[in-house]
Amino acid sequence: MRDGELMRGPREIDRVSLVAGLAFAAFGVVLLLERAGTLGLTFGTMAPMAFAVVGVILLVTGLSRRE
Amino acid sequence: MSDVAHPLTGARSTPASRRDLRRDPEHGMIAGVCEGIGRRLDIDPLLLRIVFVATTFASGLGIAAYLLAWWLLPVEGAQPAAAVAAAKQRSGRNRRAALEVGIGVGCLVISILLTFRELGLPFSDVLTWPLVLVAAGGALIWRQSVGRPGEPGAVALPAAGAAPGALAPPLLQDQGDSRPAVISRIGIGVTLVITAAIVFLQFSGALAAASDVALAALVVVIALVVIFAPFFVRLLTSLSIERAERIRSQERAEVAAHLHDSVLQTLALMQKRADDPREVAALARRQERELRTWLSGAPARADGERWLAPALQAAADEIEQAHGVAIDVVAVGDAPLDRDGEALVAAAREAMLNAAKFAGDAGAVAVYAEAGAERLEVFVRDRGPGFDPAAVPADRRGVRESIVGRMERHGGRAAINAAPGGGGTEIELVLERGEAS
Repeated sequence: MRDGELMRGPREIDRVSLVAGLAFAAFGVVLLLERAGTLGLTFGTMAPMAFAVVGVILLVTGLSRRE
Repeated sequence: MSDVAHPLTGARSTPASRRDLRRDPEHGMIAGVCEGIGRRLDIDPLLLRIVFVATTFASGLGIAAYLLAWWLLPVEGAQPAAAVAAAKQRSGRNRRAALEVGIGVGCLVISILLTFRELGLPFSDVLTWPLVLVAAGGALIWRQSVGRPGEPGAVALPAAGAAPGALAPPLLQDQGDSRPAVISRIGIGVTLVITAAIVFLQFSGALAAASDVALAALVVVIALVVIFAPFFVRLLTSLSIERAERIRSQERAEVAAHLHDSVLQTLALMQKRADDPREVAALARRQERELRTWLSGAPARADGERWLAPALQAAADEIEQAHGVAIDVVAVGDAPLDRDGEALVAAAREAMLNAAKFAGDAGAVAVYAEAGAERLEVFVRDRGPGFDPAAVPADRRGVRESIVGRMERHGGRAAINAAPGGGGTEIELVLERGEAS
């Protein structure tokens, strides 16, 4: 490890990664429930979810960059 | 950027950031594939992300292509042109952020509206697509007309007492974007909003009634345009001329101030030192360098971080001033200095100092630095009498400790190519980068 890295403070939480991970995890849970037969997914229900995941990730990414 | 010839060897090099296709996980969203490809092709990575997402939903091909690129592309390391890339990234960051926020909000709106439609809410069809179009058009117009000062598309509000030229129409002010791009962006936004209104009226059955009102309004608008267009065009023209004149005047004042502060002061100093040709030459060279830097518009680094090229130049200036020997520094690429980099600069400074002391009468000392992706290299060459490194007495520690020993302690190496009898001396300093130290 280089000296410059040693001088940095404790690693901050990457909000983009956190939100993206949570969004994909939620998406995965939904797919799992569909696979288990608990939910019945169609294109009409999948499309809003996909848009929501992409939208949330892009929104958080943009807001993080702006800061 | 054109290739740069090595002043000592004649070899040509190209900055690595433009040469190599690499992914950049540090700045990317997932693995930095789109970021790396976008940087290499000089296009917005967001467009590539959209393409990847679209092809993923279309056929699943996008995710396979992304994984393949993730596997094949090497990771971006600390690069010599990191400064250039960082500056470019900073300038595009706000624009990209605005785009991402806009598209993200758009996706969420579409998601909500599709959910309404799936749930069978009665107003969904009437509202869905008009709202989508209004959101898209409004975002375009909003982004163009409102932003942070200094951003493309930002509106500079005229301060109290500002010149009349500052009152140019905000929507048409472009700070970085070309005028056609600004106009087309606003045009598309307006078209989308109008289309949304028409679609909404059509769905709600009010289009027929609204058409009569719209026709009357259109006639009035056309009449007003015919009446006021000449005045408006004249006003725009005069504002444009005033604005251009004001910019010219400010630039002229800035040049005059800089010439007074630097060139005229140096000329006055040279007159006082006219009896010392070496001093006069050193003053002239220093002024020439400063003027070239200013003319090239190189930005000052305000972050306090030291970089290789300026550090070498500062060392050369200091030695040149102290010993009256011309030192020409040529740097290809640049890199921030960590502890090892500082040692490299210190060793190069010692080599320059030796060259100035023992070979200063033989002409200018040449310093060539190259910051590559894998190593930093500095060559210091003089045309002096040369020397035999093996014959240097043990108590003379300049070369042995300050150059060779210092480089070895920091994981680098130093090679001395010296030929006694007038062949000159070349000291080569190499520091490998990228490995943990």
